[in-house]
Amino acid sequence: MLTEKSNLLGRRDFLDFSLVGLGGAALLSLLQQPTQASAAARSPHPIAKAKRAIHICLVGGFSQVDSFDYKPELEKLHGKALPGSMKPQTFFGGVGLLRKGEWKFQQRGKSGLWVSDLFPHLADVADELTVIRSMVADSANHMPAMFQENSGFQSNGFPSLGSWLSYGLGNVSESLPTFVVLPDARSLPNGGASNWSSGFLPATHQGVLFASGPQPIRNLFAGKQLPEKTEADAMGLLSSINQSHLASRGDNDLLKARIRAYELVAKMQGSVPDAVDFSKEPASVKTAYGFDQQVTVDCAQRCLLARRLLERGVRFVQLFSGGAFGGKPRHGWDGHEDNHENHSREAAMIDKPIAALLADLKQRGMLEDTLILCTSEFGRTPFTQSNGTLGLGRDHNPEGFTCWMAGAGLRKGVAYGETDPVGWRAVENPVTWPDFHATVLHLLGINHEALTYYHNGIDRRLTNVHGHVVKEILA
Amino acid sequence: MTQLTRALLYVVAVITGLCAATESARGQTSPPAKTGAETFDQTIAPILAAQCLTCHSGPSPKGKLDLSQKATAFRASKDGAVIVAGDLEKSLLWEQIDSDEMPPKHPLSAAEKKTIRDWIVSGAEWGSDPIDPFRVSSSRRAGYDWWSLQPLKQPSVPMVDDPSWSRNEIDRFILTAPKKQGISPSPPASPRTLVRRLYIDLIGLPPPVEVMDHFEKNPTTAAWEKLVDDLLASKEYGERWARHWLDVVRFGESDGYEYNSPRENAWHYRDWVIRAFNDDMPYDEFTRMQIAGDVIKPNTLEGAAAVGLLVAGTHNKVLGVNAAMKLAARHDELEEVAGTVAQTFLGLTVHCARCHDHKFEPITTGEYYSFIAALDGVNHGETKFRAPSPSQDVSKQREALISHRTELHKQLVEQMLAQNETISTTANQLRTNDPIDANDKGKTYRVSLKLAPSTWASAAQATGDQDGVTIQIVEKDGTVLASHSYRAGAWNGGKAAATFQSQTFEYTGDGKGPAHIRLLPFPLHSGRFGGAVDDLEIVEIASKKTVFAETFDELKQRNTPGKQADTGRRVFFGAVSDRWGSTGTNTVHAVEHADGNLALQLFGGEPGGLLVKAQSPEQKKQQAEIDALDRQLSALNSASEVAVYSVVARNPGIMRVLLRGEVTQPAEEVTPGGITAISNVSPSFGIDKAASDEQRRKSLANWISHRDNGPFHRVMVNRIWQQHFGQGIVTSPSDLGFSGGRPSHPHLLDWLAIRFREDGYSIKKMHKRIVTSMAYQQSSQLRPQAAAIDGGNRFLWRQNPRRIEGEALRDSILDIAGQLNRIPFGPGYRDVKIVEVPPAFYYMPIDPIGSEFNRRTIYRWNIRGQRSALLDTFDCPDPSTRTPTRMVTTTPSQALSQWNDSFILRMSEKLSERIISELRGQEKAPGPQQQVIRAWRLVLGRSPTAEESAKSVRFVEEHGLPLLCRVLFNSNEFVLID
Repeated sequence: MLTEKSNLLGRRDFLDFSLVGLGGAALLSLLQQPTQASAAARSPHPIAKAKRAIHICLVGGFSQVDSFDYKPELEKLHGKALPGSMKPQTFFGGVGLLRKGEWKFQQRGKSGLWVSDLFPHLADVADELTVIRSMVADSANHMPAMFQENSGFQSNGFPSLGSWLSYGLGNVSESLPTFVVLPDARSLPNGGASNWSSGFLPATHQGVLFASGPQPIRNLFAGKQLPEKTEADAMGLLSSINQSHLASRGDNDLLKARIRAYELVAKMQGSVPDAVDFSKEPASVKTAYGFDQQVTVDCAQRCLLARRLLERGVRFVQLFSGGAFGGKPRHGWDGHEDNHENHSREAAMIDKPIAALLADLKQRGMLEDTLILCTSEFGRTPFTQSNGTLGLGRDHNPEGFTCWMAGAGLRKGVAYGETDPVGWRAVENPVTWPDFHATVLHLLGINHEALTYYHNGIDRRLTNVHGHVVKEILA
Repeated sequence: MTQLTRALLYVVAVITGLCAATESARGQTSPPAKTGAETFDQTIAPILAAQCLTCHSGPSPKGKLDLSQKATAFRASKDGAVIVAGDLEKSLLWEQIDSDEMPPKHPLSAAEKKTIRDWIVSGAEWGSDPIDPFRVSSSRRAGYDWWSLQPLKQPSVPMVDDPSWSRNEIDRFILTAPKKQGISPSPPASPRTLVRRLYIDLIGLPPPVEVMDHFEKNPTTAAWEKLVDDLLASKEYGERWARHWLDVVRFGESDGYEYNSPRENAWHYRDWVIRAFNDDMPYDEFTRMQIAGDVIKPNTLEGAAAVGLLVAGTHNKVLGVNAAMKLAARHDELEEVAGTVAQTFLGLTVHCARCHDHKFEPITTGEYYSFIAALDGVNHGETKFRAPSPSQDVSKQREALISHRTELHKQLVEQMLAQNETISTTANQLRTNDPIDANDKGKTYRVSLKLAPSTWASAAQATGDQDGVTIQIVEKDGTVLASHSYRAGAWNGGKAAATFQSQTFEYTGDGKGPAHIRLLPFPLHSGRFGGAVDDLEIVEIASKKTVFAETFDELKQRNTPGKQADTGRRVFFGAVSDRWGSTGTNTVHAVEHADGNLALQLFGGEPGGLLVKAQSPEQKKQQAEIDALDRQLSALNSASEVAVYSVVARNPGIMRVLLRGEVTQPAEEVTPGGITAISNVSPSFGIDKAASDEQRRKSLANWISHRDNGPFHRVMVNRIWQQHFGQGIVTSPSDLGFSGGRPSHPHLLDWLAIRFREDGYSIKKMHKRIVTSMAYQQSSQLRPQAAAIDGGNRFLWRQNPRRIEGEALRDSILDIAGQLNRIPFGPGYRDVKIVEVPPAFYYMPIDPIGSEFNRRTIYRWNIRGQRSALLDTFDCPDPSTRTPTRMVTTTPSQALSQWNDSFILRMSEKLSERIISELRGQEKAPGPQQQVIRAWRLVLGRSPTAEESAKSVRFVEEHGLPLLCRVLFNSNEFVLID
């Protein structure tokens, strides 16, 4: 019945953005009321281990057998056909011979977690990682799979994970958005803003795109800026007109909220540029992230910005590695033609910055209550995309693939779940996207069955009617 | 929390005695003793149905326990009896429930356990057998008795009246509730407020300040009604109300998904909706047209535009090569389309029954598949039409070209055939093997045949206007005794495939002996199909004797059948017949136009393969002339063609239930049909499983818009009400089911619905009825005392103040700045730049400058995934989702956009220019005082107070008029509709 409330003037909902965290807190207290339709009454709310999160999306589908899912058997079977009678149903149809992982695997750190040389810097922080090797998705098709990765549903129009968190947790800072999106400099992912859409949730919960340049967010400043005094006088006149209007209308939260929103304009004009200003960051930090190298600078800047935004109260930052699926060379991890060439290029762009981000967060003590997610809409096939031959490319593989998490509330340096001996299908402890989302919400203190929003006949959830928290990876 | 709030509402409603639910509970003071069977149906059966029957019923129930029927529920198992009346200890059912063994994972609540326990202890009397979980509504779900599914019921208009306040019947319904709670209704709003409210409500534009002045001086009922009539008659009315409708039906102009391809020609639907509102098209017709317009008015631009609703949603073109993935995507699309149709017109969430029987509404999975079967002919695509009104000249030119060409061609063909009867050609030609006794000297024969356009392959091979069939009576020596050519008409995407034309001609025999019948396509070597021939008959007129009859149903199949490109019907390639001999490399195809009914299909032959062996220079010249005419004709056709994004129908085939919604688990076949739960309207369409798309959608349209369909009427009057009051009588306008809200005024809702039907489904009359009520004209001023009792204003003790929508805000600003371009219809203006990364599309918001972009916002090209910051922060929805109710949010981003957006800055300048130039016309040197007054009057519809004026003048003197305009455009008063 939130929609009903939202439609009415004179309700407190209008103020949710301006009262620090209240939207979220009030919501959660409501969620804890026993209801008939949800299982909330029987499922107590978890204690929040994480207060904020960064979600790194590797667009296109990154290869598990080349990175985190070590398969000695695949090396033995290199150049052979997939054993057994199962005939894979691949996206493009061609089924070639098995191809071993292209990068050397080693056990890393104290934990002995297997990480290949594809990610040498991440390997250095392997003890911080929690790897899930048994992810499964419902689609081998990029866009439906990516929508599912982000919103739990395969079509346009559903709220993304960041929007649900914004809705569920409210904001911390009133002068910065709750959910920020930092796309790859090369291009936006297909579907553009649909990937960080608030769907049927109020627009305030959608992801806010941060761009480089003097206007990090839309309309932060007017095209032609006014002298400071003029701007202040104009705001003063507006305020006085609005105040006398309010006085004549009696109590009206919409009017009050709008007055407050205009008061925040100046504040945002200060805090947003401050967040994107790297000038006070020490050179050593910038170098560690990779500011000094052409190949890493884009990701480095976004990783550092992500940390700065989180420090200033942003709840959720989504960072994309890879953009449009088309193009040559491809912008992303979609290694159809030559997976080695593709993954070498993509990994080089993000490995160092992401590892530096983890190290930086840890050093600042932020990793204790920050969650890092690194996911891909699906993985890649252990056999090549070719007809019965040994090719160079790998096709989409939703049957079993890898993602990793790090930070708050997780068991560190562990891998969960198993694929079959060649790394094709998840055979032990498969984890679906609803399971993954339920786990993320759990870590952020939200019971995924209780975070609902009524829309067109259904109390909608991020996890639809599915989802189990993967307890085994929790600390 | 939804349930919580709902429960509160329910309590309030019960107290006031207004809710429909209280009717069933009427007489609570002395409830008639319930029988055991009734208790079972109302308390036990719902628990069993919701918690147990998913596993414990059906052909192979889990643990071999079927709890849906009395006999099996009471049967003893190897471990003992499941239920022993009066004996908890011996009842296995109780043991399992009490120990939380069952249901697994989600044990019953204490209250539910107690209910079961009491029932067993008190004798376990069974009720309806087997359990019908839909029979009655319970606290868990809706049953067949659910309020919104019932027929409309004429309520008596309440006796409560206050002549000093109420204006019409609506007011007497509205008065009842607040009075009972000790709240008095509000007095009328001020005339100026009323005029602004009415303008924004009906046309989405602000009133000219002079109109406000005028009405303020003369606020009579007659003046009010005149205003209402004028606004309803304006073309701006449709532009306003079509926008509400487009929200409901998720009208978007790009595909969504990975490619998000633009739809260049989807705007026809938007224009059709605007016209329908402006023409006050009766709502039942409005409904039928959007479901089956292309069937009701076949081959018309109007019909194709109207069904734009069905294809206004997302469409995935990237499906991979995997058949199961493709089928699953098709089913996702059908769910999306069916969900939209059912929610839009019935307020029913039918789509939730795809994988299992609906959890909250009385809709089975089988019914879901019947319902989508009715829509399974719907495919996204573009249809082409001749321009709606080609000029007379063009039509005449086309006709002349066709007739000239036909004549030339006929001559050529006849000439060539006369020269060589066994021409080598790739065209299908047929000749009767045996001569027919139909050439007696002096006797007259009538030849009649039926022919239809027909194709089996690509659109390029489809029968066009110029394609036809020639029938000849040929004598033994090759003399053509009679020859006639007929055109079958254009294929039109299969729409005309089964429309047979009857043709006849007569000839007189010359007695030279029995003759052959020859059939051949014309023109030869067109590369297209000339038409399908069925039922050929020759009758000797005088004796009425049939000398020859052929139905072609005996054509024998030689190869496995293929599928017609558009209708999906079977086609047999290489069909043979004892009676006919065929020539041509493509030989004969038999097409099935109805079950078991075959027609002969004639292919014109590969282009360029024309009678190569027999071409004289004269013939070549003729052919060249024909080719030139063809080129002219095709140029003429494409120049006057209009493409419409619409339904491209396909042959639906037979629908099967999918177990748990899995495409890999097809189960029983279903017949297209409606939903049983809607009382008084039979769900049967009276068509069969293999019915055509036309039959299915026409039936669906008629079933939905049936006069006795209660929810069909309630949903629409509620939508109209919602836009006049800021919230509906039911606050979930596309969901009148269990999960939705309950009506605040159930009797009023039915009264309005019945009036709507009696008024011939006139939407404009409904508007007028509502806006002439006192309920509508109340002040929106908050009264703390009343708010303390009914803070949500569910009982309408005041009008709801509303925040202006994004579109109305932009349109108002354009209008006030004197920049609004009122040109209606046609392709939309684009405020995005397309960036193509083949094969995908991206849309970058831009703020283009120029009059062509200053059109009303409904004409904005509505792609998915991108809106301007201004529209976005004012809650304009993305068309990826159905939005029957818009959010109203206030955020710092909204303030940033309204304050800094380049559009606002530009319009502030324009308004300033307008004011200066208008004042200059009136006096020599307009001072800041005049500028200020004019600015306030234009933007806010009133003059400033002395204090406001003084402040504004000082401000203008220091910072200029444009900045004052910008401030006013940002003021709360401007965005609030009192």
